Amino acid sequence: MFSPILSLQSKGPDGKLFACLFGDSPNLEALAKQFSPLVEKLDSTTVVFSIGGLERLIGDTEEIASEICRRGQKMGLVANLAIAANPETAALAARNLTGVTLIRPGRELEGLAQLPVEVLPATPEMLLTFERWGIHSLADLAALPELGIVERLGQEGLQLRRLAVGQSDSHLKIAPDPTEYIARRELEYPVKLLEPVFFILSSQLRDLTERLRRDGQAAGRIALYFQLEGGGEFRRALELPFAMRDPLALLKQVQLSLEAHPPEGATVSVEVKLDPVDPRSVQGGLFAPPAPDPEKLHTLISRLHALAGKDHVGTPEVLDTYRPDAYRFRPCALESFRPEQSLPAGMQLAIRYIRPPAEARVVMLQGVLRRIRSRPVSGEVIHSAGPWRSSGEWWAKTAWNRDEWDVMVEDRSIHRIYRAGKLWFVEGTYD
Amino acid sequence: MAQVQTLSSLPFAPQSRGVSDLSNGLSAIPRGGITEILGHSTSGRTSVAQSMLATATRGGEVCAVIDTSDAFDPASALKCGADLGKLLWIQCGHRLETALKSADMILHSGGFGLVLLDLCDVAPVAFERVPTSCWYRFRLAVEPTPTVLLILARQSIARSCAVRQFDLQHELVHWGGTAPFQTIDRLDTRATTRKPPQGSDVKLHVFANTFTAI
Repeated sequence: MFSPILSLQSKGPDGKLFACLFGDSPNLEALAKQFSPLVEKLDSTTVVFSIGGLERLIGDTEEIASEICRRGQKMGLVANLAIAANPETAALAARNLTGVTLIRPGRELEGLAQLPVEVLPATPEMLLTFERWGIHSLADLAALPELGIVERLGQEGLQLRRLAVGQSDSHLKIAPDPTEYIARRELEYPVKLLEPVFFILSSQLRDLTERLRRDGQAAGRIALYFQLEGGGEFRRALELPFAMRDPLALLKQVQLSLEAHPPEGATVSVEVKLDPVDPRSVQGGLFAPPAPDPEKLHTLISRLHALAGKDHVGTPEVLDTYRPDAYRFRPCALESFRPEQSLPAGMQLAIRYIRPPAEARVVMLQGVLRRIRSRPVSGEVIHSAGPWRSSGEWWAKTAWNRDEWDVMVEDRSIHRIYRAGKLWFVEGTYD
Repeated sequence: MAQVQTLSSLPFAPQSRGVSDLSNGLSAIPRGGITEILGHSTSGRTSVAQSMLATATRGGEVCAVIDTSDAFDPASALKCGADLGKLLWIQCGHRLETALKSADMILHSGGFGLVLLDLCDVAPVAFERVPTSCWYRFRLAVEPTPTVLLILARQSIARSCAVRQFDLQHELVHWGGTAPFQTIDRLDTRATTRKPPQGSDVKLHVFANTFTAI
């Protein structure tokens, strides 16, 4: 419940008035929005809102304050209310004066005079200076000459003095309401093909991305919801790796996704929803090496997934094991373009793997390899080195146990072959 | 006269336009063009390509490996000094058409420093079905960009569309240790510039460190 009104002042002549609510209730913002759309939430306990122009609807300032109190009581709120000609004065009064306070424009100092200087948003050093000067209240601070304050305490001191005398010229910082970016279209007749659906999605995405652009936002996720003929539903969500708002790039993502996982039935209605996120901000470098545009790269990788298969495209990662040819793909994260300072290790002999290893027939006489025949390589062995015994991971399905040789055949190509049990395989070629 | 080069220096300079080279004796590998490295098995073409990948990725460039026959070894590239985090690897499953389509997408997407198209294990007869316009299309896609399209193959495929062609030939293998427990120490290979024709020969030393502790 609101405390009783402590003092009543008449409203200012310009009609520019702000009210501030200070309390622990989470419904302060809801109460403020009953009176004005121009609401700024300073913190979890303080809400400032404009009440300019309400006199035509409610009456004079006292009646506005009474109406706010009445509705606050109806909502069960306990809070301080202050009304002043600028938001900062209203906030200062609401935070430090209990009950309801109305401060007439031009007479702010009368309302705030007895407040201690500690209520001002000053640094500890500044407060220490005030204490040393013997300044304890806002009235003391207001009594100091403005020029002298500037000379000794700079702009910060001047701001504090202006706050003490209620001369702030700040404005409300209005946070926009969370907006939903949804587009829905009912089709005149069920559509089985994807192509017409893409046509509709294209226009929906263009409209939604235009709204995102106007609001300074980008899309972080696309959610699709189709109603199908016969009462069925189709839902699909695409998580974007980074914020995007290019309608063509988004459409391509949707297109590739729907082609890979089409809806099971004719579409009756199409709904697309974009989750807004803050747009990407990238600082380009004048001497930075060329790099793919992230939006194009994501589209490219999606297209490569569709072409070569999702398990065959990505960034390689060598596994921490002695097992030969141990690697895995990880999702592409090619965004770090900082050049390394260290130099490459120079030219090292590479091996070209044959995946899976090709089975071979090998002739071995008195422990020496003589001849090899397989699909990728055949011929007399003119030099061989080995065997090198290799085994590991006996506890897992990936266990291996084999003898390896490096062999040079008659065309002077060098290959790595191995024997596992009684079978021979060609694993790769040195190149 | 042939010049011996150990190639401890960089074979590929990504920060500048058209100054990189396999070694001092070979012509530069220009950006915005197709370069072919040709040779048979164990001629060192993959080692040269991976060395270029290492230099490009270390320079902060994003590279792509279009692996027609799934032969790329990430461990070899890592040993060469490549930053695998800046590498996009596409395994094409021995499908030439997939490789060419992937190359087309990547080149038209733009932004890559080096695109390696590995066609070493593709049968020559398969290239007869590839229209010449395909290579012209690649050339046009690369020309206005700082991208290098590097093709590895047994014989020239891009022909007149390539701005540089290098032919590698295996000369000598240095084995270390005592028989039969030997390891490959070094591979000597001779690189000849086929295009432009005035380029000279150079002997390349490819070092091997194939033995890994168990």
